Amino acid sequence: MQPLAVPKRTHVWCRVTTNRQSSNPAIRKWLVLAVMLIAAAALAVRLVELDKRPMHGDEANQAFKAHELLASGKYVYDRDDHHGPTLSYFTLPAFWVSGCSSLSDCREATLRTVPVLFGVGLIILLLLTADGLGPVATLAAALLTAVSPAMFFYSRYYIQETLLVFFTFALLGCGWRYVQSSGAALHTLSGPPVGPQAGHCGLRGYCWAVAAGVCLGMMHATKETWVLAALSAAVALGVMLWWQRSWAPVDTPARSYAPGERLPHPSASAGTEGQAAWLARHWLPLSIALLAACATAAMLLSSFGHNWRGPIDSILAYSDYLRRGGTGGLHHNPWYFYLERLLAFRSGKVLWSEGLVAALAVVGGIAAVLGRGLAQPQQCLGRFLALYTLVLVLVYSALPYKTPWCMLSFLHGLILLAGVGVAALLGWLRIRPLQAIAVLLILLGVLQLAKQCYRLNFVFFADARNPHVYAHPVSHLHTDLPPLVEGLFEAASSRADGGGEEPPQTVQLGYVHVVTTENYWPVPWYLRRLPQQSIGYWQDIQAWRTTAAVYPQPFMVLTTSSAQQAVEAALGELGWMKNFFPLASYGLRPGEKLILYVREDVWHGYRQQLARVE
Amino acid sequence: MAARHFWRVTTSIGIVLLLAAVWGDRAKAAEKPGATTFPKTIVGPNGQTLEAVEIKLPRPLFQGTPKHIKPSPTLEKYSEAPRPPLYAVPGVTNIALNKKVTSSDMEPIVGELSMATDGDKEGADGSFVELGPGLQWLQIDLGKESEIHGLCVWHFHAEGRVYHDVIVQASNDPEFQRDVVTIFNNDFDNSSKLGAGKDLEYIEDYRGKLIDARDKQGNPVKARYVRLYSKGNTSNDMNHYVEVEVYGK
Repeated sequence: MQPLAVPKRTHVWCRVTTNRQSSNPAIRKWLVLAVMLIAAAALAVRLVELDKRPMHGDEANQAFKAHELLASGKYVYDRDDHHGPTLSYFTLPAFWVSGCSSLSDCREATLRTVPVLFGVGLIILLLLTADGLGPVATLAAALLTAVSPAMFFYSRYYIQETLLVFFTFALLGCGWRYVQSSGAALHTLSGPPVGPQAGHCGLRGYCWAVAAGVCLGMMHATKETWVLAALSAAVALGVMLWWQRSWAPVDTPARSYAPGERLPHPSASAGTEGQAAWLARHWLPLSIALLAACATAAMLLSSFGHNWRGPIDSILAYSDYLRRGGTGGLHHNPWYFYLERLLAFRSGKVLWSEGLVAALAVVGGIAAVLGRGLAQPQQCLGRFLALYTLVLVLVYSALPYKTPWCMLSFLHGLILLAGVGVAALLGWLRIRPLQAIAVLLILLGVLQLAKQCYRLNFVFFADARNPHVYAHPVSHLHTDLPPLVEGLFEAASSRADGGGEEPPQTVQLGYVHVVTTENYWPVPWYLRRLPQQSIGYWQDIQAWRTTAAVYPQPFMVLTTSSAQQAVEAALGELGWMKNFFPLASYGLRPGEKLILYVREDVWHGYRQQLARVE
Repeated sequence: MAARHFWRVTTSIGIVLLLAAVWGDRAKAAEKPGATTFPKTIVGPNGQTLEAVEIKLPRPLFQGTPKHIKPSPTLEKYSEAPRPPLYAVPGVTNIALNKKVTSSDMEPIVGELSMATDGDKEGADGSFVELGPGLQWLQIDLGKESEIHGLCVWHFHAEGRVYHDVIVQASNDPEFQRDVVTIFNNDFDNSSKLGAGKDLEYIEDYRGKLIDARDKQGNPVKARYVRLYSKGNTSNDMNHYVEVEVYGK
């Protein structure tokens, strides 16, 4: 009996069959082991010298928000800035484990461990999609995630970006698992259910749907830009559906069906079941997922019911973000800003590039679109990833507001595609020696990426030549400023104690004045070990002049170069200028210096103290 | 008669103008870079004759006292008065000219490391090397152990600025792990962890910073390598070198 030939289209975007390589228990075991080893290695190297780089203003700001949560048990969502609370909540265990009860005994490394863990988690999450990507693509993606310079750099950065990418990928992974456990996609793309589980969303399917919903809620509670990732995923899914319905019958080859094998439903070849029917079949798990997303987001944004204004503000915030995203403001950068940083960033003699990732991603994208050299699930997932990444790149490049860490979202898509690219490349090169040469060349490229990771994180860690260093303080701010300020404060306090001046611990107005019209972060982080009631912050110089006139002269005044003239004029008006002099300056951001003015008698006290120590 | 009177008056005025011009020119010459009213030789502490080391200065790129840098107890008072020369035993010259330069930043942002010893002190674009931010060092290999009497360093003189944590050391060890002699150090709070310095910070100008390397007895430092540290400046976080001259033999 001749086997029947029917279009292979019935299996596009389908569940992975049991005879796939990645479903082979032996291969799966080795794959899990290899991925876990890569993750362990990535964790080990990411934890090295986490204190080396000074805190960026945004990192310091987040540190204070996390501490606020630790101290009060509440996170008050601020629609102007600061983003969602997930980073702060996930920092609590880090605080507990390290024994930090206040910021004064908290180190940068404690905070940065949180994004490091999520950065490494991205590698482990690959196991969720391993049957879709295939073992080679999964391994390649794991390796590239581990050594991608941008991934490495920003996973050591105490901001929300790594968490957002983690939850986005977790959403995609859980979504993929839902598809696998329920056969959901078969209905959409190929007509009514086929296969034993088709059309039935069992307990496992519901679990994955809920997990996907929780991830979506986490994305919302992490950073407002989650909508861009969600939008891109939705667009990619929409285009995929349209593509499969329009083109699949033409470009997919036929496959043979063994005798006795269940044939697809006759309507499968027509592809007539639309999204409405699909939704009708899956409305319950989808609704539960959506409910889980809303509940998760509301729970976190309201700080577990303490601030119900939070979830509302998280929606209202989009009016601000739309305005900011449209104009760019301080962060208005050209459309090629991300691509330049990713593909070829030259500063002086140094050239940085993640060209290998981009080139392999292009190969992966082409292979997925052409459907050559890849198994069916890889084609489907590859096409989805190609579209998702393309839309993200276009959206992020089109928005005038650009900060370099935002590129992590699409870089992760590129890395996954690059994994697909490696698998496709090895599929095309059928001869073993050629495959070996390709693997060798790719490994050389990986080594080059690893070397860049080392140089970016441990040599050029706060250097403008580093494409990922953006509006960053100078490399020695954290090593030089705190000891000097604390030494001066100690000298001044001991003099005040002995000299009849009121001890700084008892006054409510600062003995250290931070006065500038500019953004002064991360200065509060570096003053965190001083008695907080002894520090005052002013962003209105005239208001400061009026307030300060009533109180004793501070020990120190910190200002920034752009406000220096106005502060000096105010010091003059207060009659204090003759007592103060600029002692030190530190780069706060490119073009903006932090200037430390100290009172002359405080300085002399400090010198005497130093002389005694010597 | 009138013609004679006319010529007499004209000649007198001419002579007066000529004398005024010559006097003015001399006065102006005294202010010119390199001009000095100091003696060319003096007698040293050990009775030997010391000669003023010839230092060719570049043309000034700014005039007057930089107003944006406020006086402070840690800053040397800026003066435009002629600077006393470095007196040294005969035969002392710039031994750093075209010598090999290495650095903590081997991939400068701008320029080449060799620019620090190429003899070009003009300070315009293309004549200085820019190293990265933070504490950076630049090291000159003099080729062999030499007697170092002094040195002059031009970090950047297109504008008045102050470089932080300027530390100059000499050693025979290229790694500067042993036998290190500190010649100059203005790191007042020991933030660079090379020891607290007693020297003052200073404002850069076309004259460079002339540093006497000898001890109180007038003995020169004997070393093969000279290392200069700095940690950014009042204008930006980078470290620059237009030229470094090491006077010795």
